[in-house]
Amino acid sequence: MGAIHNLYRNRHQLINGTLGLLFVMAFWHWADRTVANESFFVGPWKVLQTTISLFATGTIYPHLRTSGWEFLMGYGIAAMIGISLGMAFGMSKLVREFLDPWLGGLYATPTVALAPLIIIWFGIELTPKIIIVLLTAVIDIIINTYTGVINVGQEFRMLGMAFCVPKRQIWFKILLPGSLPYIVTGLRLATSRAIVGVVVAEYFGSSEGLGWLLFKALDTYNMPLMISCATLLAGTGIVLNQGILAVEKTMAPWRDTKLQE
Amino acid sequence: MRGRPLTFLAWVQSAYGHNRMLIHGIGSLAFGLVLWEAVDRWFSDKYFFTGPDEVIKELLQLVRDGEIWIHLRYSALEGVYGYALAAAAGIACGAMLAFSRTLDEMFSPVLIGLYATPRPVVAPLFIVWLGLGVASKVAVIFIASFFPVAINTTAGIKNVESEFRMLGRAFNVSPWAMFVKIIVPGALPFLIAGLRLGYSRAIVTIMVAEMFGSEAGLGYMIVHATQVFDIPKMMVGISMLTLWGILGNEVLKLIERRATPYKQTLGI
Repeated sequence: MGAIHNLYRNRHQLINGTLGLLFVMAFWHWADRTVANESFFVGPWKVLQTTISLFATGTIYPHLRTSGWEFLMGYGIAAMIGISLGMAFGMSKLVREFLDPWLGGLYATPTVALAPLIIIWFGIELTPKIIIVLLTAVIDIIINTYTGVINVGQEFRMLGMAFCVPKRQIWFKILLPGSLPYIVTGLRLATSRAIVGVVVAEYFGSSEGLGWLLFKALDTYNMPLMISCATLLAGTGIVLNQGILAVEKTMAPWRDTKLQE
Repeated sequence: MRGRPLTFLAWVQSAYGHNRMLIHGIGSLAFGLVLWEAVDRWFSDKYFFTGPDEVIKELLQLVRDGEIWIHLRYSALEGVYGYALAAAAGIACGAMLAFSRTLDEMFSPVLIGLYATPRPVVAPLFIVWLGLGVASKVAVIFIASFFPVAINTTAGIKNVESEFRMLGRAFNVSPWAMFVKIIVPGALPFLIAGLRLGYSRAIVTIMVAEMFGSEAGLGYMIVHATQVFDIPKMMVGISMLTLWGILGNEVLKLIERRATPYKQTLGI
């Protein structure tokens, strides 16, 4: 008895987390049993089976490749643009004052609403999808980089100026490392937005991709396929989020990362 | 400054210095509108690009028809129900998790995982379950804004500095006073940050939820207008949602400043 007690005391976080997950799974299973209608609701077991068969038959790979490519391109360009714009915002008062109303507006605009327009402009090839992903993801990166740069602290910047540090070194030795944790937070938040972008972009015209597969399943009322696509997309979001969160924790252990969104 | 005659130039300079932010903001907006109109004139293809004048004309037309009110009402109904339910449930659940460590350890990972779930993925599911009406959209908006509110409430309460709590305990403060005077003011900045996040997600989700099938609403209007290449109408829908986003965000920022004057705010 004492051993079990000790085990619980040492590993309570892991044990409770597993219990919570099991509880949710059990609830899901119970709900499925109660509904008992496969064109309406599907349990965890069936979803697992469907997902495994998707991988075993290889049908999923072209979709994964398409969606993955859209995600990587859009997200990568968003990261480059977002970090540079965010730095410019934090550094120059003039840039900030000129672009602030637009940033505020873009922050409030549901960028997914622009997706149909972008399809009209650029067609249904890869380019419009990359642009949609870029638009949905870039705003979080800009805002977090900007917040990071202004939070690095006037003291450090002034210290640099007092020692006549050249401007380039202020950028690369003070501002960039100081705001790096914030930039990483922005990159993390942008992953889930970028996945939203991928799904929405594929909804408005495509012939391949995880989002496309999801909507095809919806049209044919194929509930198991639909929920298994949803689980794959959600799983990707969760894995990316947790992975970057781990990076954030090692980079800036003094910050409570949970509070940032 | 004193003793120097106030010339016109000096007056302009001081007026500019005092209202720099405002002047630059307005200048930038005006520049943007002119640029927009110029691009429109350059394309001069109304099925491809549209200028601000056409968007305003379209808005007036929709107001005169009365069509816009139907969509505004429908979307507002969804948004208000979804967001209000999410805020209430999020605060309640978040507080529950904050006061029990076991519950927190059990369900926080699940909450954070669900928070990272992309919402367009759940929207079609809810349409299958709850139909094309308001109910499915309220559910999706609820899902979108519940998690940030709950997670931030938990984090806020847990982060009330323990010195303050210990101080309260040392002075033998009653549990009620501890809650009202120490925990609530300490947790409030995070809670409001959560509410703001939830709000901006709710606005996006109005669009997402209506995209996959709806009877009316701004998102429905946008998607429908795109299908017939009616770009001015689409832009009216997008600007309405943007306007809601800006207004709501400003209101919540105002509440934030009033309710938590002790908190420093930087950024947007």
